[in-house]
Amino acid sequence: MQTSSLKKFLKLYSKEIRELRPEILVVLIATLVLDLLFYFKARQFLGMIIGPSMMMLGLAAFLPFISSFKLLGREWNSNTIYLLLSLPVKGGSILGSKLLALLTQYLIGTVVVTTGGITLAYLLFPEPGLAETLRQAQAAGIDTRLQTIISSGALFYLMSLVGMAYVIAISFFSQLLGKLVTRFSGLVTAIVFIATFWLMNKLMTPLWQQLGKYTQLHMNQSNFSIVAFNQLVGMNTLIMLAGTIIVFIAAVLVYNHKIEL
Amino acid sequence: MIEFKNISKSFGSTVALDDVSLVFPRGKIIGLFGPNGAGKSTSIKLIMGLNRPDRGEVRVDGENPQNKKQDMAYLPEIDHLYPWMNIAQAADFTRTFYTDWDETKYRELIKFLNLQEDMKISKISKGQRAKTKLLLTVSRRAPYLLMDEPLSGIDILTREEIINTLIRDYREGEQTIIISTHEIAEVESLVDEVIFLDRGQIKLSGNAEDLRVKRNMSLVELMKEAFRNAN
Repeated sequence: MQTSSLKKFLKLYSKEIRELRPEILVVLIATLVLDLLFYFKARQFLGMIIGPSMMMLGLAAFLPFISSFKLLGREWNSNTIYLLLSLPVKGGSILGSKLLALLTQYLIGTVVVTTGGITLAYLLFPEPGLAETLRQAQAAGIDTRLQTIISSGALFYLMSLVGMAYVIAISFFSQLLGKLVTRFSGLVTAIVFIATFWLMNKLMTPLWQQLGKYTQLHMNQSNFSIVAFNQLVGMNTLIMLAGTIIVFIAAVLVYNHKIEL
Repeated sequence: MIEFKNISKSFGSTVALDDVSLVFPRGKIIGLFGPNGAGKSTSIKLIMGLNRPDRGEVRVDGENPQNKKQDMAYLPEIDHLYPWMNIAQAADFTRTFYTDWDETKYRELIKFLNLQEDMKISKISKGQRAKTKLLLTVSRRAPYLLMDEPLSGIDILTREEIINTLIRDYREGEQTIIISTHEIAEVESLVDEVIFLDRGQIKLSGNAEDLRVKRNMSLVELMKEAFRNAN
């Protein structure tokens, strides 16, 4: 009976999701408690809602980055790296399943917090109402078609997702290099993380500069185009995706060829 | 067949293996003996592809060990299983990765070893964890079984169960078992071939029975003599 690579990958992924379950639950429960608290107890302090809601969104967005250190570091701390390294799978599957699990955590957290926030705002701020808000936006020259709103929102969210994958890939790469030394592993990880971030920014700067020129050409205050905005976000996403792939491949190579016990 | 060709491996200033060349014959039970720090665990990890030699070459059936993980079942000395899993989950995890998983054997062994599938790994005793590791390793029909100190810190009754399990399931001629241990007396009756290591070098090696007959000594006495002479 042949075990497919996909089946192995999915088994690793489900293991990682199980490892991340406490963090995912923390965000879900905190969001629920906060939203219910605001809805039932804090109606008279409506202005205070924005701050904590944004903090929750920040937590949901930032937690996967913190978890990336836990998810990989714990394999060494609990000696399960012996099991992982003895499995007949390569670093691409091991690190890929961890990356996908962390992105799932990001997806669940941000979607739940955002949905909760929008629902709360809709229930607590009935005036001026959605139709009126859209009319005002239309009067200001903004394209308010549902299709446009969804495509722009989705693109923007995709960019944030790729951004998260980018920092997680750098986190993996720096942790693995940190594991190559027996002493000051944490310090090496921190230095490599900062250095990789700096180096990748240097590499991507010429591309950002080209994007800046494009922005000046197509998007100024008097000529805001949603199509140009979407293209800008799309190109930003592609640049970051290229950076993510480069760093992820470097992390996989270190795992496959350098990591030992 | 597993082959070490002039293997050297150091960890910082500590030499684990020093220009070691040896052959682990196929289809035998091989005892890798020696005191702590002799290089036994490093040898097992090199075969498993968990360590890489500084110099020399390890070949498993003529291939790089990294490409032969599918054929090797590994039982490390430390607890390497996910503590939040129960035995059933750990078995399910293992069976996904190996085509040689034998479900019938697993069902028989779990009874034989007095384990239950709903036992959570973080909650069971050290002896039960050792038996769980053995269960997951031996439930595969892997051509190579590598065991690093399988009896370390285990009570006498559990040791007996572990040894009985090995004897019960060994497929002579088909399977190669390498047992690294410094508790020679416990496995003396089990091994076909022996390799005595000390400070990264081979002190003595050969067929266990031949050595016993030739020198009229048990393996424990042989080891004591080999190390006395070395010192």
